[in-house]
Amino acid sequence: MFKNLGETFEPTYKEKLWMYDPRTEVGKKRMKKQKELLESFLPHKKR
Amino acid sequence: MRAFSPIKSGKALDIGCGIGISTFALEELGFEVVGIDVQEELVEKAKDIAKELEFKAEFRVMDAKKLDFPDESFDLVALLGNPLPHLSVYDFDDIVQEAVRVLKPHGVIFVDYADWVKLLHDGYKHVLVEEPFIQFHVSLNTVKGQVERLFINLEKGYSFRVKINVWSPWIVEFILRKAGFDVKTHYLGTFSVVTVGVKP
Repeated sequence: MFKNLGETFEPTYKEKLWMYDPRTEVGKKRMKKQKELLESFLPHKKR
Repeated sequence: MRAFSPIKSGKALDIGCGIGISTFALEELGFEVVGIDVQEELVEKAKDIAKELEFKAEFRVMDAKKLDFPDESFDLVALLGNPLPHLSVYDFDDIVQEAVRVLKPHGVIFVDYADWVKLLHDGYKHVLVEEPFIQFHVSLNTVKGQVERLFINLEKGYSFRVKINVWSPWIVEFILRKAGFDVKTHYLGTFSVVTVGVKP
């Protein structure tokens, strides 16, 4: 019934590529979250 | 008078960029970004999306363990979107050695990942559903630092096993400190973690 695709993480990523695409609503939300993460935790630089 | 200002400009390297979502996020924050990935197919797709959405980011197929950039050429090296499960501690150690080389003084490495030790402790036996997949714990290899999980795609009717490298903040912090970074870790909720290193 099933075919084994081997030991890799790729099938999960490739199957859900639309979730990482900035043109989709889910992708836009993911991108916004990453921006918030960077804005929150990027350290401050000495002037 | 503020003695410090946030880093939101300069040159950033996005390691494991995939189809570019993290690269575009960095660009929108004001960075001049280069996204790299070992998978040519994903890099080509990232280039197409950049062209369509008019992003200026550069994308290259490159192994992060052998960066083709001069010393001290970036202000920020970012690993976003939890790429660590793809990397062994040896891979990450090599990447961090390269990151410290290409970062300028006071440059920053930013690592966004999941605390897999906490995940294993709290719920490794749970069946996880993340459509279209349902996934089960299979085994834990404490010599390799990997968990094995079985994924089943219920819509398309196939299964595959995945080996996930296990990460937790103390391991990430150790590797960054060993490379000379000043390090700080932040928790976001229960399992999501950001560890930030600053090059002296």
